[in-house]
Amino acid sequence: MTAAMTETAKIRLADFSFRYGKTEVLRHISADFPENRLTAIIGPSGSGKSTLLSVCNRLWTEMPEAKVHGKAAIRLAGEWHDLCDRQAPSQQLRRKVGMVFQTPNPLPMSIFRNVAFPLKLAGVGDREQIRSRVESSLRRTLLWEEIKERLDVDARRLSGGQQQRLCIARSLVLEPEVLLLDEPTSALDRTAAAGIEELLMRLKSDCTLVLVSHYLEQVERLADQIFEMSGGILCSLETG
Amino acid sequence: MAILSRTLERLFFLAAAGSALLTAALFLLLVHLALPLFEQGGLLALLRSPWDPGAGLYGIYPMVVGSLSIAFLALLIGFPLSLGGAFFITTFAPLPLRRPLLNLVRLLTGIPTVVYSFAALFLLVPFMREHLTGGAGLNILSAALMLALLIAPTMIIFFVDAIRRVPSSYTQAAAALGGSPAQRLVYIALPLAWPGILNGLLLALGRAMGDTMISLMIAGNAVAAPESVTDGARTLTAHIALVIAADVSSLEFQSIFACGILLYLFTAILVLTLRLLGRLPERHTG
Repeated sequence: MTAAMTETAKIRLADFSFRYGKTEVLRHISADFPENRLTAIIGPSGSGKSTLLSVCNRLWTEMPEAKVHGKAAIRLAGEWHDLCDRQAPSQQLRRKVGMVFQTPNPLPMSIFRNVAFPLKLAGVGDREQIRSRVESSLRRTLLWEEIKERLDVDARRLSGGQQQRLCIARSLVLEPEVLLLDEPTSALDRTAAAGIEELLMRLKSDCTLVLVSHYLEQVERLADQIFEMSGGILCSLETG
Repeated sequence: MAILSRTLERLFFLAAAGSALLTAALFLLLVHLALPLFEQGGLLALLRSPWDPGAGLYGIYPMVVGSLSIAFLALLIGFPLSLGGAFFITTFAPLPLRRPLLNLVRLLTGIPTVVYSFAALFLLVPFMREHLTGGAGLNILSAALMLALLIAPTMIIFFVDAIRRVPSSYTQAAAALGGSPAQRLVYIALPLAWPGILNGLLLALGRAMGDTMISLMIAGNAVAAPESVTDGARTLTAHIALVIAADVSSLEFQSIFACGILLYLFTAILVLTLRLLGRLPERHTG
């Protein structure tokens, strides 16, 4: 590990292991995910990729049977936060570490309310501010022009690709420093997937992206750094 | 095999038709038995007039008021209590405590109401008498408090179930967006669980209306229409239990069929409401 890498690391894992009940899901992982880069993790399903993502926003603490060992930390606004601490409050951290799931998961409410929802959770009350932040977030995900006339429509009525971009917009509205993406295109058709890929390339400039993917091709197009996960062990791959 | 399955099919049809017919027959029987009373001026007149057998008045107005006020007061007390209990079990209690707590609540539903009544008679009623209401301590408030305790477990079980059935993808999304457990409950789980919560509420109301033992032992059984919650009252169910010892051919005895009809209609309306609610389109939180 070089000194330069150390300086720009956004997420750092050192001899990190993860158990779920009696199953060892992640084994002695050591890796740095650099800032403002797209780090990709590929590997077969069930190899622990999604679990690794759930460590990065402390979502693992919602699982009662999960246990962690070793070190995992994330640097937000210049400060390191321990990801292994089950007791630490996670709301603030998750506002700065967005997550996009494999299956688009818009909430059962209107398009506008979906994107405004994280602001509501964060206690933002100013209506004008909410409006403008929702709009700019939807513009960032290239969704605004398509749906600006139907902001009151139930978000679940959008197409799959639109739903996924809505979920990304929802994560972006809090201006996160890190965005975790769990196979965000696997439930989408080719065109919709290409749209998401293009979007990720644009986001990279001011957001650290961690992408879990099935497809090596996709990852080679997008990633600055590639890891392969296999049986809970993470190995670095050469980037092309 | 075809014959067997056809025979079974007919058998099941007969069973279903039989129970449906029984339900209808029960209603007709009640109406038939109450007919002599209706000749006095119909069900509405009975509902309006007081109970005074000495003066030839067999109205059940006081019992209707007694039943409704005890049941709704019990619901008023029990609902927030149960909602809080369900919140605690699903969201706020430490993880290892949640399952034992729910099991405890399940156990509570199985306790015979007479046991609740005894507990009330020895603990709640003396307290009422000495510190709150005075009098005998047998009144609407005592009965409603006890009834609230009786129906709370039913409500808690329904509420917990409704909250837990909210798709985890929604609560997980809210968690990943930085929602605290309380926010997830209020903004996501509660709006989606609302139909189930209403369901539990209506069932609890049915149970409160139908309960006999608590009102019989705790409510005081006064035949005058109650004017405040510290008055004693007689419920429709308690009235049936009390009058059933009277002479079978008397009008007094026949009044219990009017009570039966009312309770029957009330239950039918509750069940129909539940059915209608079940058909409502999926609600969304926005």
